[in-house]
Amino acid sequence: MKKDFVIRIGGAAGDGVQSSGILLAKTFTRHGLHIFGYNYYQDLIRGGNSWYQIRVSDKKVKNQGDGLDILVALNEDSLNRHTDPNINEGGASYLKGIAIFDESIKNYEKRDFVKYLPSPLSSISSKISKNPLLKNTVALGMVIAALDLDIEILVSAIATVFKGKSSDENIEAARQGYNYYMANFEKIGTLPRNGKKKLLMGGGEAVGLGAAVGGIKAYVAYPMTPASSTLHWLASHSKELNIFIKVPEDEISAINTVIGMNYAGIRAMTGSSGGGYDLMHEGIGLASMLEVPVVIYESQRAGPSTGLPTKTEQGDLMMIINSSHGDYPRAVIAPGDVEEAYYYTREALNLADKYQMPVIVVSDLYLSERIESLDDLSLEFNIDRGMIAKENIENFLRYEYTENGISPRAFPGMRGLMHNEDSDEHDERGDVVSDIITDPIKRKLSVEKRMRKLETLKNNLPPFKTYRIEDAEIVLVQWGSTKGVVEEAADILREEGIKAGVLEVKYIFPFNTVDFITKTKGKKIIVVENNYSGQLSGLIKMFTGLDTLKINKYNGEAFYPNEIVNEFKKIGGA
Amino acid sequence: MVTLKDYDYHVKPDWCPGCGNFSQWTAIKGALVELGIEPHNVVIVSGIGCSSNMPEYIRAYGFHGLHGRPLPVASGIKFTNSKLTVIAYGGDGDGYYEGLNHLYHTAKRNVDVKYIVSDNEVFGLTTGQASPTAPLGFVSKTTPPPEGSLEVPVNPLTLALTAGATFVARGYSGEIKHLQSLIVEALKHKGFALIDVLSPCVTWNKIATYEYYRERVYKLQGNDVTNFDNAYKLATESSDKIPIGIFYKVEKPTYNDIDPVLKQGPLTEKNVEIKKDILEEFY
Repeated sequence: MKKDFVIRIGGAAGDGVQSSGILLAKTFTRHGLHIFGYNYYQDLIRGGNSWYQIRVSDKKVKNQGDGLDILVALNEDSLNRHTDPNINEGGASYLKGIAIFDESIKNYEKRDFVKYLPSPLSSISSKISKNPLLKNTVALGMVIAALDLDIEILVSAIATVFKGKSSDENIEAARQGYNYYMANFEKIGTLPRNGKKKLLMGGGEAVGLGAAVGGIKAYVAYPMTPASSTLHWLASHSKELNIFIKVPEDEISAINTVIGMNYAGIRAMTGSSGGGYDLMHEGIGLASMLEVPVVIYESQRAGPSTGLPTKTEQGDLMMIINSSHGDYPRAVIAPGDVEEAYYYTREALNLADKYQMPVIVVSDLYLSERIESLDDLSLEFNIDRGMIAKENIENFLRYEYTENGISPRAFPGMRGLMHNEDSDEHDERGDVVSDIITDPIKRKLSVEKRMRKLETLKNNLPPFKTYRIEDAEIVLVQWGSTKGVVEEAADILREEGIKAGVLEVKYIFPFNTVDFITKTKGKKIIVVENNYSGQLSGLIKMFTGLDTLKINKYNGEAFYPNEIVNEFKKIGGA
Repeated sequence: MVTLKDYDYHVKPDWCPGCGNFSQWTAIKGALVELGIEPHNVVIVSGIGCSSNMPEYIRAYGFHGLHGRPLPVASGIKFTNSKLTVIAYGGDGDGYYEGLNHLYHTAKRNVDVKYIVSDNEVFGLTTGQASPTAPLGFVSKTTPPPEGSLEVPVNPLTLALTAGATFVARGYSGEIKHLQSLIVEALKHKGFALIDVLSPCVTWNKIATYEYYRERVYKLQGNDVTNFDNAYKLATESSDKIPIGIFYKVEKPTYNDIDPVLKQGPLTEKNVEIKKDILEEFY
């Protein structure tokens, strides 16, 4: 019996599409079910076409899913749009299931694969309150009934999300919607009710939580979609967590401020999307030259320039790896899902301190603005501040030429360790070797010292994570947000008799060349990326000399599992 | 006891002989000694330009960063550890061209950093091009004759006043003791302080010379430093008579005083404690 359902709530911006989606998701996770939620929206506050998709199952769901089982259409446009076999929503499926909509919507094209359930959403809600958004909650009550779930759990979720009178009204609306469905329609499936409650978390929130557990004491950032969800979560927890939050005048100020903060002895982070990150390049080079640790969160959206501000893409990878002028060490990490966004962000903070270099955590809209269910998260974490000098050292060498390239830091306020940190080339002590007399010997030693840190890091990289790769003949290589959808594509291919597996690149720079070559030996490599040019594919060629096939998507939307399978067949992957 | 020797570093300045920066170098160290501030509690943050090499020549904590960006770095340091004395330092190109927006916002926030600008009206290190404070008609490699500079110069003092700076002063490199007294007052002031220092560039600026300033500069005396209108008027006085001294000085809470997290003390002394119930909101 079917235990995996895709639900979509469609309407206009301002219709409460997203908040209804999140409320429904919370109801599912409180049932102990797994969910994946994805927000399709535009760069406007009112109007347009937006929708929120939730996939729910009793097992872990890794992406927003193919198919569509339940549509809640909040207007006529949505009803027609999502039942059209020629649907143009970037890869999302059209409805083959039930459509819940207000009975006042009459003017729609009837499809025989849709079961239309016109319902008195507005007339029920208007008897409770004048709030027009209340009809959404009536519809949510109907969805709960359609899936044979517990209305009391929806009631409890409403009580958490809404307060006071609004809570009472929404609870009443939900109950009436539930009862209406039970009295008039048949359920479409049954989902188990008694699993252990799951965590419901967004990608941006996970980065924020990871940063907090990772020991940041400040987050300084200028708002930019889709990086802002992290800024918002941290700002709303600032007092409770004692984390200083500042929105400065621009991203140049943000990066320089956090460099000042890390220099002064604490962990401080910044974040932005591509456009804001562009402005940080010079600062990232500065941090690397001064060997001041700094973690930057970059959540990509479709570019270039303003691009598609509310759409996803993985188009910034080459830019991130090549940020700033000069030849210098940095690390680039790309978590693949919400859980990894949490764990890799806090790990990035340790790496930055340990190697005293910029570490960039790369996400994108698809990861930063999705929600996922999680069984649990560990809050245990050892903060490793790296190498810090003891006070009062005679002839303190801040940039001592050590074997692994890592030298002791000292913070202002520490006695007897005064020194200069300089954007000019400098020697072990920090004294400039670029001005009065350029010192080519010291210049060479200083470059090598900094670059040795990168070698040390490279030698300590963990092996690549893989999925069903042991007997695979085809290796789908992915990085970042596409982890779950590529894994499911491999599952589908295996069901069709094709031995596919996945290699997941999380530490992108430096790159574990030896492990990559070992793991892909004798297998066909196909790199799946949300960009036009195949940026990781190019990097793989650069780092390993290996040629790859490519599957790319760049229409602003995330991949769907069967889309990858179909593309695989088109390029003759099998 | 702190002495000048404590601030003495083995690297010596490489400015041109006669450069106004030498006086500032002396005055900064003198002011720190006068107030008995120990070198390990001092951070000097600079941008890029001749003057911005300053932290390389003082035995304290030095941060020689990017062109135009000393104020965000200095703010970050002060936000982190309010116990430190944080001096931001640079030239007029650095502070009034490339990084001007930071001046406005740092002043507005009243971050407790002291910003000293060596103002010589030219880009010294890149061979004397007109800077944002160069006068109309100033001839340089980038502003050839007969027109010279076509831009009205930036007035840093009125700008800082407008932004809400709580301490605004002008010094002159030819008056070291006076300059040192201004720096002492700025360091004693709780909040953002701007000291614009008229500083002859002996190599590239043949107009704003020591002689030029000697004839025009006069020391402010008895002006009401709490009177905004008067400060603004003095700051716009014509170039025949150039006042130096404190134009404006008022007490207001600093950013560290009002921020709910920062007002509890230095971030360096705080441990972020993650309670298990942080996960509750996600259920």
